[in-house]
Amino acid sequence: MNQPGPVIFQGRRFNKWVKLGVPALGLGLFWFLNHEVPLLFTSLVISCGFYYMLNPVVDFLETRHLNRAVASIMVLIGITCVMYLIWLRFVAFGMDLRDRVDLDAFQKNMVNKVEGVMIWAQAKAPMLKRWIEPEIQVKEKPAAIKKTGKPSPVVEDVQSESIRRRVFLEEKLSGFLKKLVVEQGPELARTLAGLVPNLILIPYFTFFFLKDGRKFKKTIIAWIPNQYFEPALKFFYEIGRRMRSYLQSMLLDCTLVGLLVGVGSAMVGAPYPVVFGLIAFALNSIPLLGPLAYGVTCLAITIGAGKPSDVILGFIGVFFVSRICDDLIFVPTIYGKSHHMHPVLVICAVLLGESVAGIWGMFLAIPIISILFLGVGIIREISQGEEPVPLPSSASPPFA
Amino acid sequence: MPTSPNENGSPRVLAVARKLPVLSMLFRRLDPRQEEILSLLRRTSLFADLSESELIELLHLLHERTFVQGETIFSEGEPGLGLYVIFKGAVEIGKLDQGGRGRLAQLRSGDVFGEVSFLDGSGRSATATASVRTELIGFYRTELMDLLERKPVLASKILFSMARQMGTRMRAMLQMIQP
Repeated sequence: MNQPGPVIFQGRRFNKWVKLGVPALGLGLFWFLNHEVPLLFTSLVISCGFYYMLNPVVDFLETRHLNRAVASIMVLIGITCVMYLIWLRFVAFGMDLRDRVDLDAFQKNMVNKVEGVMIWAQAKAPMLKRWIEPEIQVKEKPAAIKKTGKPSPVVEDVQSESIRRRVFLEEKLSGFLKKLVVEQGPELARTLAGLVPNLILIPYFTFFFLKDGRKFKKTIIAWIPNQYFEPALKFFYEIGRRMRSYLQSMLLDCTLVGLLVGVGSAMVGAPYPVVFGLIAFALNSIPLLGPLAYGVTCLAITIGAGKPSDVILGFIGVFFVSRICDDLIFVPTIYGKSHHMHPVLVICAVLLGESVAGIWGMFLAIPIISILFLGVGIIREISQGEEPVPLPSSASPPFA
Repeated sequence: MPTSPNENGSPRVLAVARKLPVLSMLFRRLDPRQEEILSLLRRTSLFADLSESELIELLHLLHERTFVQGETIFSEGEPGLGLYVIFKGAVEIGKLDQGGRGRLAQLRSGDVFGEVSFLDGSGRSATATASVRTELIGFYRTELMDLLERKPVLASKILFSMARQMGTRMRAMLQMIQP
């Protein structure tokens, strides 16, 4: 009575539906789970990410004869301490910002800097004047001009132009800030409040993944029938290996960019260099939009804190250096070519992630898309089987 | 204070600490089934050189598989990933030849098979079938690769031991074919 042996997927016929079917199924499952059980889903996915990043540390502690549960607790306590220190740093930053920067001063500084840039740009490139001026001239003549007597037509023209520009900029900026605070503020607060349950669940899941991850994996794999066991094991192994490599690379990349921005900011004299480094570290994992977000945020804080122009230009320089280093050195060196995705696909994935799962979706979009592509690639590799190792022409039996 | 390793490979201080009721909670514990598998591994020539802590590390990488009587474990020519240690039961190794299936060997508890494909990833050189209901302990190449990255010393010890065993079998085979 012979049962069939391990089955290797039959190449071409299998590939046809796998190429489209697996990503579609994955995206559908992602959407369904996120729609039906968003809290559980995002917490589980992020915990998996932490598991892959922290597991080597727990493994190391376990080789030092520690119980895995104790090792997991130690690692989580360590991470919590680091997060607490970061939180303290942000609280100190917030308090400092509240004490030192009021909204009026921030607005005034911004208007000064933007006006300076406009004047400089108009002087250097007169064609820009036509582009900027019409929008300013449509505004009504401010009351301040009416009160200023009539010294001479030329002086009045210069003064009125300057005052009109300032009034225009102040109106624009205060409108933008009002919109940001009144409309986006509550939305942002709601989003942040929505993250609190995640922040409780993530350490909880991460602890059990770290403690019992191998058991979970072995239990799941144990259910696979004997004939599919070896291909399935290879599939899980490859997914795990590449996922771990991807997340660890991402962590290293974000750390390097954070350090670069932090150190660079300190060197050019920007305010809060540690906070700038942390913001860059946190946002750099979001492709394309993340760097833009940390660049704009840090630049706004630098301008709002009333720093002189050379510091602002210095920070812009630091930002560009960090981008050049990241795009040309860190990413190719750390990730390699295997994780390369087309920029159009990256931006689509990030925007799709944001619309499906909000802020977490932006962070998770690229890892999830990468896993789906990896899954397809691995199934294709397995389906094709390994090339048999040819015997070298010089192969001979051992003689001694 | 004695800190030198004992015969199991773990420092004596730790061995003493394991016996204290409160401290013992901090250290790894094995369930009876794992103890049973561990004792099998100690008796297996392939893993005989490993220390206690290395065997426990290896234990976490092994997979238990059960095959019913007559079920094929792997077939000749198929790509293979794993080597197996027979935990309970018996396995027949056979090879297809012109006259049908020829029986090469009958393996019992504690025997190891499948190491050729485990090492080179090429097709299985023979077919393995469970003679009775058989429980196997599988060690797969994916786990060895993982081990090579995390604990290269342990992985090297296993590979070295495997190479030695292959050498021994090769010598035996040469003696068989020499007139």
